[in-house]
Amino acid sequence: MACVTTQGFCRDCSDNVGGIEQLYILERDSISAYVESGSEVTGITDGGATWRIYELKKEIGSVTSTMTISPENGTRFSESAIAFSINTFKAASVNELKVALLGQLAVIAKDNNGRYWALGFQSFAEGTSLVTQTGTAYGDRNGFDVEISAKEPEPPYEVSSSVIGGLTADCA
Amino acid sequence: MLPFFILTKKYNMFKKGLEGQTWNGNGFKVHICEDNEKILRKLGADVFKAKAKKKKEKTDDSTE
Repeated sequence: MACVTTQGFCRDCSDNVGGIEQLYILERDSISAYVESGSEVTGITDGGATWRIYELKKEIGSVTSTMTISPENGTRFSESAIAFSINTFKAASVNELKVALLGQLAVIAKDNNGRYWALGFQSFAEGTSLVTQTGTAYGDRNGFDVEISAKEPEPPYEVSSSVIGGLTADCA
Repeated sequence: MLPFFILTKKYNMFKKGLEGQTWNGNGFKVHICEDNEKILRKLGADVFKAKAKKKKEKTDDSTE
């Protein structure tokens, strides 16, 4: 198959911002199917399952996706890391994060430009690090640093915002 | 040439906007198009329009 390019990239107006503001997390098994076209997810069948919303403080979350290409082997895969912090070190949070991160997850990250990104759809995501800390100085974080990783064939798909509107989601 | 009603019968089998996209489920990745109708149905893909229910004809039970 020939790989045919279809467009160039003109200089933009520098109107983006970095970071993520929200995560939607669900057990991957709850998604029985999804519809995708041109790297955009336009439908998710989740049986009405409740997505857990993680509302993040400003500038403490990121999604980094690295595509590794092996020309000699003719393979490629994308490894994404979602890193974020949650404040307040308490038992209830430990229990919830422990359970969430040990499972197989699907995650939708909302970036600060209002776009949604699907990780763990092509192949499940899972927790790879949970650092709990009290901090040292009064101004330090008392809480958790979390990392979730997803190794998938393609870079994260964008999720249509109309799909998000149809999800059952809760942050409590 | 097929009669017009047969041509139009299949035209709108998929939910709005899904034709041409890719359905991912049960470990399968299937292009949503008429040619793949059978396999999509076998896999239980939720991409088809619901069939319109037939309205029951009103029966007049009153006896005169």
